[in-house]
Amino acid sequence: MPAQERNCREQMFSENEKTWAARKARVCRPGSLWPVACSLISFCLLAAGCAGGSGSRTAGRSAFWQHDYAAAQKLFAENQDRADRNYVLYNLEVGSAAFEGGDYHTARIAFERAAQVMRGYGGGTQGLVSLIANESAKLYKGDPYEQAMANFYDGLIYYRWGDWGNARAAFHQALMSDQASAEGHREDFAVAQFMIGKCYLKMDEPDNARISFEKARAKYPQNPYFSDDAINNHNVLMIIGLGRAPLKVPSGLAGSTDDYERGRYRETAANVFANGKPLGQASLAVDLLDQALTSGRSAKDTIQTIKGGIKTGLVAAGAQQLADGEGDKKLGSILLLAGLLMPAGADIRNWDLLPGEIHVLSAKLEPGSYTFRIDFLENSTTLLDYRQVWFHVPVKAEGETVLFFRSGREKANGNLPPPQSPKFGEAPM
Amino acid sequence: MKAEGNRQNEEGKKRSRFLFFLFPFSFFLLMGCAQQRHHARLDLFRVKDETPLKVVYCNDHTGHVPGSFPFVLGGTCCCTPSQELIDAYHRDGLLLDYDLSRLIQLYEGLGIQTARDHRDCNNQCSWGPHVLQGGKCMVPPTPGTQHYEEIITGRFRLPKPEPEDTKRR
Repeated sequence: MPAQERNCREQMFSENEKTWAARKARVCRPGSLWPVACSLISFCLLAAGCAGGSGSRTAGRSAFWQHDYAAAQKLFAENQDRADRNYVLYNLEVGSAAFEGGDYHTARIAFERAAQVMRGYGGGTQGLVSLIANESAKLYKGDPYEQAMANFYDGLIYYRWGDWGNARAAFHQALMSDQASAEGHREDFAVAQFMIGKCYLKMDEPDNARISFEKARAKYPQNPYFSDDAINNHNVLMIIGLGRAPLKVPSGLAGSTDDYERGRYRETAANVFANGKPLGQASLAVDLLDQALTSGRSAKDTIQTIKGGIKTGLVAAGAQQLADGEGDKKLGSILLLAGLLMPAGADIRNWDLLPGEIHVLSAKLEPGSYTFRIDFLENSTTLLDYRQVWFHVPVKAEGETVLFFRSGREKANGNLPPPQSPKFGEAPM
Repeated sequence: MKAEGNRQNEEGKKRSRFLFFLFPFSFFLLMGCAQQRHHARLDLFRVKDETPLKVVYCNDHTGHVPGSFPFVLGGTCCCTPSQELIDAYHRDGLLLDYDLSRLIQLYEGLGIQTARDHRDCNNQCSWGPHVLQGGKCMVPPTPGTQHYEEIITGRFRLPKPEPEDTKRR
């Protein structure tokens, strides 16, 4: 290397070294927030990018909406025991997949695990953190209507098993969860009232049953299946979930509070047929958007509104300082940055695997094996790709047959896999 | 000195800009690299007609199909052992040397769970899948589900084998 070039390189290196040293001294001088801020941002971004379990949850959702509930259940179950802020959600997801897939044993355990935490006082530290950080840092416990639904599903499973005492307790718990709703909407979870009434009837407590049925009728007086005739004479009860859960969306100042919108779905009604004969149209027993919108406001909404106000204020003040020719640019930058970085976003986690509405239908049928067809309608037009046909569904000779169905596009697939000829003890081919 | 200071300021600005763009870039990079798993179900959808499917493998919900005998003995019956079932076998001249306790012992000896042990698992329990699918669960599947129709018709998908240590308890 020629001496001239070497000298030049050494000089450059020396200058670079000086510049870096000066820069380092400036950046790392005592009291500078840059290193801390950069580290924090990097850490948050890294944590967001590497969030564990997101892969199996995404795949679980994909399977769930393709009605492959067994696969969804397995994928959701990978996170079920993770004791983090989404523990309740993980269990609700397992519960939903298991319930829709007919694995009521697993569903009941998952719903109870979730409900225990929803009812409890845990997550205090995370709750405090969420006051200054993002609201979603707190332990997810669900909105009142979600808590009510977890208990409602639990009750349905017990009811199906003929365990009236536990079923009634779970339905009561659903109503207790609904007590956190706004004034005037605390006893309007009609489907739970209806089921409590049915439990009381089975337990031979007709007076209590009558009170519950009256409360259910007060909410939906037009529902024909809440009538005494239907309650006393019908032996088949169908609980049909329609559509998708309400969408939780950010609203308010800087998206600091949450609001609900109707989930996107087409089906609005369900007509049921047994062996080709019409049984009638299922009737609305609870609208979850209605329940979500009347959940009531709590102290956390006030705190979130204040956080949103502060964030907006900081950004506005910073912008004003920067826009003002005589303003303090440094202060303006700090305020603007602080405002932009301030975590005030609302917690928009929700139990999105829920249906949007629950309809009920009851009928009197002779014991035997039935083919049930359910036509889902959009404004009185049958949606053919939503039609469900279920074969060899038994109606019991004694007691009540309880069936659960859930709407969905292309759900009841008529294309069964090719026939198998399994032999016990041989691995299936 | 002033020139040196200006150059340092310029360097500083460049560095700030670099950091400003680096962080969002890293974020998107990390998001992109996050492990994503997707579920793929390949079978095509066809609207069902209402012609009932033929029950090939009977269970408690379909009712016992006369003439069938236990799947574990080479037949097509997956009904839960009961005295009524034994009587039905005997009426058909089958399993004449079996009584209820012997039939129960047969299933217990093979490690097969029936509706006498638990219920409503839709063969998703830790003994699953269904015996037809090579598992140890013979609890009748839940009516009104795809799995139920697949099992009673013998037209089912084979679940992917699951390592023992990852099986749900």
